[in-house]
Amino acid sequence: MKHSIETYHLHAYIDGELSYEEAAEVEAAIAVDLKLKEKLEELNQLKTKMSLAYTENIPKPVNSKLPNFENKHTLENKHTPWWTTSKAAAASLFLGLLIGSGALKLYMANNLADSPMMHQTVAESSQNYLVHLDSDLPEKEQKTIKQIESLLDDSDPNIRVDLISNYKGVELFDVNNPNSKELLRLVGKYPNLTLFACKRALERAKKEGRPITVLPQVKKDKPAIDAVVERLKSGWNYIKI
Amino acid sequence: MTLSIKVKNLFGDKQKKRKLNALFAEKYQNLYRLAYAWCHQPAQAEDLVQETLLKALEKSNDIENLEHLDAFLATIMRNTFLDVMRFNKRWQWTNENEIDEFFSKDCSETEMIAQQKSECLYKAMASLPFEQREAIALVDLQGFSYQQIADITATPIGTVMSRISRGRESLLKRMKHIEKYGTNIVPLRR
Repeated sequence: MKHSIETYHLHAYIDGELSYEEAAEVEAAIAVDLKLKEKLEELNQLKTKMSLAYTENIPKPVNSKLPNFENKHTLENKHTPWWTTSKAAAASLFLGLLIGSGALKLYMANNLADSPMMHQTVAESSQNYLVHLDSDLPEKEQKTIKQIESLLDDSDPNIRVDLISNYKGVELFDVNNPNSKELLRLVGKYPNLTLFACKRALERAKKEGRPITVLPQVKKDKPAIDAVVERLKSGWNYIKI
Repeated sequence: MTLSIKVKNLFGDKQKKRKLNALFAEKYQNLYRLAYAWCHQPAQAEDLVQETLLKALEKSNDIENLEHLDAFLATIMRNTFLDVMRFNKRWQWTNENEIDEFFSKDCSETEMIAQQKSECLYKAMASLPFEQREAIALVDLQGFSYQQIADITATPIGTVMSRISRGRESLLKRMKHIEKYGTNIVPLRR
């Protein structure tokens, strides 16, 4: 099929950089060009993979050396960046004032200990779970529900679990889905469970003539990828169904 | 809302300083992801983040609105990383092959992490030319728009678009190559 879509259009499309008209042009082209559609799916997969990458072994700020405005007097145990063996001579005064494990400890004791943001970051890394569903297969939907219940049943009452669905996974949030009642039961039982449906997936379903009547408890104000990345950046545990 | 607080004359207000300190702590892990995606060496990534936060403190009076803090930090980190490469004379005095080789060279720590997850992706990313690796990390890890990336890298938006497009295509090719042959590859030449 003839169309004017180039590869770079697809990249801009998945990055949300095209205007409404341009995006519609891409969508019209992929509807008739199977190769283009496959290419788009490949790029989408790569983008998702990238979005989830580099999250392993990220050092916690509590174990690292954080500079701050205060405690500039702490000079012990200077840290020398790997690249600045000689450059350190020029920068040592300021670096010495601010960097160092001593400064870090003092910083942690004086500032972060009472910082709600810090508590949130540290706590999130171990206690919060993001469950991601992108399929409408009944067995996967049931597995999702079981997974959520086991997380909420077994753990600290302060734990947070967010179920985020995209692509065909948004079907689970349809009021007519046979599994939605079970999901509603969990929402009623656990106030720390939150449901998110991908805004784009809902729009796409509507455009394709199969609009989804989403449960009122479901949040649907942003694309799934943004919601996933936000949580991963905050150190949430990620579970893909 | 913390993010909408204007931070002009920050040094004069202790409470605002504390808020910025807490924000920096919050940004630490995200910055580390970006740094690691750029340099692929855990220890270097930590140093890069630390240096970035220090410079951000020095320049904190330049921050007009904390909504732009992510872009502000990414810009500082990029400039710091380029300084590092220049300082090591692997930027000005060697060709691109050598830069790529240097930054894709595996150390034992990197090897271990790569084996745990996304080995193929990491190896392929590490072998990309820096400007492509940089653009992909900014758009996919940090979620910056093309215009923001253009501002951060002081590059025309068309060039950003091209780097992302060519970078991802190259990444896919390299990943397929690694999957097929199981080894790292010689960086492709432009």
